[in-house]
Amino acid sequence: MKYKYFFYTSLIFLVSITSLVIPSCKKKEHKEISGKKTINIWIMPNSPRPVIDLEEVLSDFKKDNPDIEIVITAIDWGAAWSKITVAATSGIGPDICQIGSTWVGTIASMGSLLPLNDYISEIGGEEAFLPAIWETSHIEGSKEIIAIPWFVDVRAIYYRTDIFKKLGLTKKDLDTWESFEKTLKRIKEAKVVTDEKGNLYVGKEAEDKLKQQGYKLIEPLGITGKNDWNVIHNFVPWIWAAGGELLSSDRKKAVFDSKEALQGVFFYTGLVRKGLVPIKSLELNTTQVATNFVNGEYAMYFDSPHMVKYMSLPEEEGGTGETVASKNYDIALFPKGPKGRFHFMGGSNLVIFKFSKHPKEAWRIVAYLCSKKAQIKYSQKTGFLPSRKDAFDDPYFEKDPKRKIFKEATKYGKVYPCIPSWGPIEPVLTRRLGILWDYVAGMYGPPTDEDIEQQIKLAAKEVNSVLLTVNSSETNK
Amino acid sequence: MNKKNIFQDIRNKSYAYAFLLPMVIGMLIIHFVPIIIGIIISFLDLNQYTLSLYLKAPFVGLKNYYDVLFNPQSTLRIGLFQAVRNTVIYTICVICGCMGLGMIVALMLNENRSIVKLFRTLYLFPWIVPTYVTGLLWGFMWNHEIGVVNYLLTKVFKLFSEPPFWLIGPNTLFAIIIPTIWRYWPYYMLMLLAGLQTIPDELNEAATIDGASEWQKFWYITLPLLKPVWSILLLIGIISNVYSFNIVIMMFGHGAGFPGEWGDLLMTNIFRNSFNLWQFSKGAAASIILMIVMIGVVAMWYKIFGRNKW
Repeated sequence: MKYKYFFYTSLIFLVSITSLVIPSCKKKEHKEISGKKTINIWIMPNSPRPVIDLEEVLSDFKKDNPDIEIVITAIDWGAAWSKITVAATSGIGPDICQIGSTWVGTIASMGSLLPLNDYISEIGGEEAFLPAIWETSHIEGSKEIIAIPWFVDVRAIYYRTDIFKKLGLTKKDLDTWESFEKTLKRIKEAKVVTDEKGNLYVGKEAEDKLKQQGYKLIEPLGITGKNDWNVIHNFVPWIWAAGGELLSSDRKKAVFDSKEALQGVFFYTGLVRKGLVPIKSLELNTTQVATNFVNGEYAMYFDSPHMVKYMSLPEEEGGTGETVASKNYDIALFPKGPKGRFHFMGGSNLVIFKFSKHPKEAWRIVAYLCSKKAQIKYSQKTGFLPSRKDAFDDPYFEKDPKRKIFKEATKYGKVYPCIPSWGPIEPVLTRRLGILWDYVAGMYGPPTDEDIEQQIKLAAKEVNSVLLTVNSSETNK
Repeated sequence: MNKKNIFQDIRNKSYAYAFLLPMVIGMLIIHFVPIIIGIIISFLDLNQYTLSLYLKAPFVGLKNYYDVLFNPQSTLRIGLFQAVRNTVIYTICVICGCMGLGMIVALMLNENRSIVKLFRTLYLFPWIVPTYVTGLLWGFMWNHEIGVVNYLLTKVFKLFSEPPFWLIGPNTLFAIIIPTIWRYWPYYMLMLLAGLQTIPDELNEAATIDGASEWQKFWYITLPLLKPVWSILLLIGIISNVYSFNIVIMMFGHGAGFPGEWGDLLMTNIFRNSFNLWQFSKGAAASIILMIVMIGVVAMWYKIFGRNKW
């Protein structure tokens, strides 16, 4: 009798274990439809409807290439890093994948990306692309092209034209560091106050209005602090403009604690210390700061081109076209520092994995997505900029004065070093510069230059340790 | 029990052992295999270049352990002090908070009126909310300007003239401790309440006749008789809070930078170094060290509260 019980219990156990194991063993690959070659693409949510939007961009390609079945999967930015790196190391993943331009060096170092040198002449080669973003197509110093720039993201200044007009300021007042700071001071001192309808008041009148309900003070500039993924992207244009660099030319040492780089850090953080940026904005992320700008909290802020699209759409379509800020704003380039003008250039690239069963078909898709026509179409959907030079000749960029500024900004674009160690450096810098913002915000007493320098030195120490670890691993490889 | 007895015992109680078998096999697959692989990885150099080699990555002996504990150049070591400090403060505060709040409410609810039963159910709500939702929600609630916490502190209770910052600076530690207490105290309350209901009324009645005050009754009757419950809660509390991860990562790690000097716990530090910085072996070594420390803590618990000491 006991053995019978034992038998039945074991049977139940076996069935339950197999029911758990079998589904996980099942391959998730899509079945090949007879005669058709299936290409899997992983993308990030580049637009509000990522899969549908990309399918629409690919609709002409699908008509011309009935032999290819395209399966698009959107993966969240938060999960993307681990999913893509697991795919790169395990050999199980999509044929084509979107990767952030700053990730190229690290993912390429894993050795699973298909070299595309033989194909790139089909899409015009290096000359067809913006020079800065082309640097992210290969590991620095390597001739192997493994990631084709797909779209580009540069940041610029969004500013309120109505406030500028009221105070007699123009775009030229944002041209250099000095004039930029002076402009911010001018807005701060003028005490610009607005009501719900967007009427502006300055000076004595503003002070009286502020005592009444329904009026609010407009702060000169809104910037994000630590609680944001873009912490480094926001810092680096100021470091570059001051003549500083992030890493030494041999890429073995962090040099953003140099005198020049510190000058940039002091200037940028100084905007907060001088009271030109409200400390409360340091707690927000880019989206929250953008929302505040749209709601008329700041006279200026920095953001990507996608906001131009967002601020032109009516509310029914998910935009903010009706707000006062959306009707009265313009774009300006970053101010020129002592050593020139720089814009951080990011974006995304397309890669083909070596383990793809249909690399030629995958390339046809990549080539199509990097063509002028597809790039303009995708840019219209996402709000990001094309990576191809000739796409900017389209009236969509030429005739729109705001997008034209972003086109101009790409000329001053600069990218991070495309090296294997950049992947681990980015989170270290993001965190360390985040801690720096705690000091700047006065969380440990009034911030001094020494505090800031010390935090930058700590960041450099940690980055040096990453460089040491990754470089020694690379030589041991 | 000698060897012969064990086999005899298995034969006699085969039905019970058959039911235990799935759990034992499950434990082996889910716990012991990963632990052994983790120990192996901690002796290898598994990084972005060697990840595809997996367990065939180069053997480096105790180097990872040295890096975690002593090497001032190692990123894990650089943040270790802050992570340990925060984890210790966090664990102590969360356990004290949960236990204190749980005990007070459990004593209040230890009655059999229907309204009390309703409150008993209502108080369980925070515990039903998943930790990642707790992290996200409190992230919004701590917001300097629009967060409900600062609204209550400055506008309703008028405790502060200027709203404090919660998500930047040293206050970050409170910003993660308070949501954790909020999330877990109902569990402590439930366990303590269950324990309270097992205490016979006669003891309290006798004490009342003897002229004991309420405080004396709590101190000399309730607390010692509840020892089996609160000592277990203490153990569970230490283990779960030292390994706490979800609330911090949802409040800071998800689309919003990283926890700073005062928000970084051991687990978030190990996670960041392992998966963002690609130092899997150092992460594994740190986890093994932590495991050994925790085994020590658990052993100490057994020594103080073990079965025969109740």
